[in-house]
Amino acid sequence: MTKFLVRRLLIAVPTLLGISLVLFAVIALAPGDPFADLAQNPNVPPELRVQLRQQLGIDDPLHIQYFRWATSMARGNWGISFVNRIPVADLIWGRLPATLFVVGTSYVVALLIAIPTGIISAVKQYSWWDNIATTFAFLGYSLPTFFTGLLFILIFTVKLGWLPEVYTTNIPATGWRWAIFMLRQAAMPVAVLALFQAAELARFVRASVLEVLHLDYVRTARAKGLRERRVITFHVVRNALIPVVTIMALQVPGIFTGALVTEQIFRVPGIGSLLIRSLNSHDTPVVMGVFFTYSILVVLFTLAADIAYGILDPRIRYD
Amino acid sequence: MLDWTTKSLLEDLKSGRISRRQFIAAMTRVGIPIGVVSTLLASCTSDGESGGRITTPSANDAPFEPKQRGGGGQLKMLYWQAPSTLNPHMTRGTKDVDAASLFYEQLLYIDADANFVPRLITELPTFENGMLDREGKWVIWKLKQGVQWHDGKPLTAEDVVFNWEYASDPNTAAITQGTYTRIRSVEKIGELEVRVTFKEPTLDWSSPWSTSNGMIIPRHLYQSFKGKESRNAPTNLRPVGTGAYKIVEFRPDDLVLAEINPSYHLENRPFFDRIELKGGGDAAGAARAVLQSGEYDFAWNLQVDGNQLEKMEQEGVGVIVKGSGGTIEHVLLNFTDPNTEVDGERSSLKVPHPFFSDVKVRQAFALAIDRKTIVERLYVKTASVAQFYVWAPKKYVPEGNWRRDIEKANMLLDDAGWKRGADGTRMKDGKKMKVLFQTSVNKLRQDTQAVIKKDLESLGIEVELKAIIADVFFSGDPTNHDTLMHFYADMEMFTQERAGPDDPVLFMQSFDSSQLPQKSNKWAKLNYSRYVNKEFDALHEAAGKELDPGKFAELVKKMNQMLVDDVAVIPLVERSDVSGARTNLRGVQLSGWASTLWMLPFWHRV
Repeated sequence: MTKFLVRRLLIAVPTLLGISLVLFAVIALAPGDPFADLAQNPNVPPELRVQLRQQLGIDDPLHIQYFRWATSMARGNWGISFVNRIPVADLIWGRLPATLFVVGTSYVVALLIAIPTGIISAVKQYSWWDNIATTFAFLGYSLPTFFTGLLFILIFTVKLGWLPEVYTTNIPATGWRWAIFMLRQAAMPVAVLALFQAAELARFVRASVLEVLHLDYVRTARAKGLRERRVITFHVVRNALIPVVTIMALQVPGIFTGALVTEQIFRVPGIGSLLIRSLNSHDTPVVMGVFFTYSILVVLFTLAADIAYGILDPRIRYD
Repeated sequence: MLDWTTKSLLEDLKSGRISRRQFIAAMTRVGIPIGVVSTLLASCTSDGESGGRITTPSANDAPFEPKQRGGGGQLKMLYWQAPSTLNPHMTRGTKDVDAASLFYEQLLYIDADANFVPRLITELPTFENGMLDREGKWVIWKLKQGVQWHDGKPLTAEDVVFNWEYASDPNTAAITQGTYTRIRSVEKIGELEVRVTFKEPTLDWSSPWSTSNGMIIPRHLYQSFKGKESRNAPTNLRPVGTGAYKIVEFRPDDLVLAEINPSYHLENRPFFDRIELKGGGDAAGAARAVLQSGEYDFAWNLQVDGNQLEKMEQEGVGVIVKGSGGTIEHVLLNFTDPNTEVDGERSSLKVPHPFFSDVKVRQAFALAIDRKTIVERLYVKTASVAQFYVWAPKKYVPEGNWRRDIEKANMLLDDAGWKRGADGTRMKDGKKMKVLFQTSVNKLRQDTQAVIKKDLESLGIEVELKAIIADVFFSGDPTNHDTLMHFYADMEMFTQERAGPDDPVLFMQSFDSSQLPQKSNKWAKLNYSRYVNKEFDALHEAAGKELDPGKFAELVKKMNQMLVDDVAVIPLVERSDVSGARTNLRGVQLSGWASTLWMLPFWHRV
């Protein structure tokens, strides 16, 4: 197992390098200018913009820019944002907690919804419960998050006035009041994301459980006289969840990118909205920093998925 | 807690604690017939207090004379573009300027009517008090006594000198650099006095100090962070200014938290104790947060469809406030041919445009475009029809009598030899009259393009529309063909903002033949339409040297008129900046020549 781990981690390095090269090439080749907004500013003469570009090294040849970026990354210096003029690492670090909170909570909620729903759907296949759950899963999966987000805002903020639309990290309360405030403002973004993921997950769980339900050892367990409840929870679910765990681990990076839209709509100050901001203003160091963070997450979670799979299923052995 | 009697409901409605929607709901729930309710509502709106107006406040607000500083609680503001930096010399748009203006101040400001309003100075420099040179070569600024920085140190003349050094140092890479280059020197002539000397005699003696480029930063904190070190200054994230509010916390691209400055130099100001400036999201969401849900007290720059804003305003929770500073949405016609390539470039000065070189054709275009419909249907109350390129202040604007005239337009085109062909499209010498019309990706602009296309097609002109994303369109990238400067199209449309009320010389550079963008200068010039007129150049040069304000105004009027008569530009819309404020917010005076928050110390709530 250890050899497997070490080998995978070693392979991760060239993988990340390759990803960074492609990212850099795509961003650098894309048209657009970090100083485009200054074009309409009458106080900024065109010569000053040329000077600014030169100072920040934007007009240097691409391979020099990439080399500069890669070497400073290796030394732990993630660069300085063109727009904020503060270190990229500080920017990302400061906004990571908000994203992790929203994303983490929504995933937990998604699991709590999806797993029971999927199991019951499979066990009571084609019942009214199954049909409703499947329809909702279909809807939840097809409706994009920006649509459900705006729909929720329309219903809960504009029409009913129950929940705030703006997510703020500045909560003027402490103790349980703080918790309530947090709950209220996080309710909608978490719900939007959770529904989307639950839909996807429920289908997987259902399919996986269905597969296990018809296997011989389940029939044996029933034949032994075990109660149906015990058969399901003890024998079926545990085995059915193995491929689901793998899927979950592979889904996690997708959740971060899915949170992009939700963060933008609800103004959650996370790395998703940071990415959108920096893409719009062509702030290359920040874009690279955020994309690189995502790449690390993908690589790590893929590895975690493989390891989890190996641990859960004794039939799998790595060496 | 709402008291369910009619009288108190009416009071709640008038004071803005409940919206009209809630009022109606409450009344009908109690059992009052809808006819009575609507009569009550009508009586409510007649005194103008319940919202439903788009206005520039000041005139309607009663004077507010506070007896003490603070006590107003928290003010929550929403900026859908979040502030990225708090250093006034690194700002990238009005959002950053506004955030910085919470903490920093200018020596003086320019109000909506283009009058000077002193803030950190004792008096305005004039010829009479000897602080202003009659030949326009220097000006003396006298600072107020007893102004302190947020850390207690006093404001002195050395701070003003330092600001000029900091901004004009090319290594600082300050965005404001361009506005300080006309200054030869800033010298301290007293503990609180400086003399600013210009390289060339100028009429515009107050800038950059009277603009947001002139916010004063503290020398004692920035001294060790000049030049290349400027981005490492801790003060960039924890500003120390002379303003009414002190920093509590700054999360870039997210939030600015500020608290009242107890030693602010204006007595009994400001009113609010704490400020929360939240950023992010989109303009429509920001409009909702102030005009519908009332979650926020103020929202900046509501670039939302005018009809939607009007509907939201009718709910009575918030109002629209306007500030206009000469911003002009206009169309440029290309005087060169964008379709012929010469020496590796198109829109070259060597190839004149097949039909825009003919003034009759240009006049026809200018007469055909329906500016009124564009303003009334698309911009609604947030703008007016523009007749001239420089439309504010009024002293620079000649008498305008433009009217849409399709018949005359058709006649002019016939006169110019462009007759309608068999399919209705105008032709001359076998070539069709076809235009490519480009602008940035923006719903309002695309809607405007659609209107213009219809107008031109009714004249028999074939129109192709093109929309380029703003990042690219406004970029200075010499390798990209879709930029404003390359102008590889026949017509382009965009907005130009003013630097200050007395900037016409700077502003009208866009028509001077010394500013022609071509491949040889990497298209880094301002005369995108490639308009060449020796008479205009002469007027422009004379205006640059003119020191008498009266004669200067005459020259600007002449230039204004010439640009329109010769159709060097087709002005479309006089755009205002539109913000939203809760109905109970007062003192929100917007000036197109200053930051949105320039009067923040005077804002209050009733």
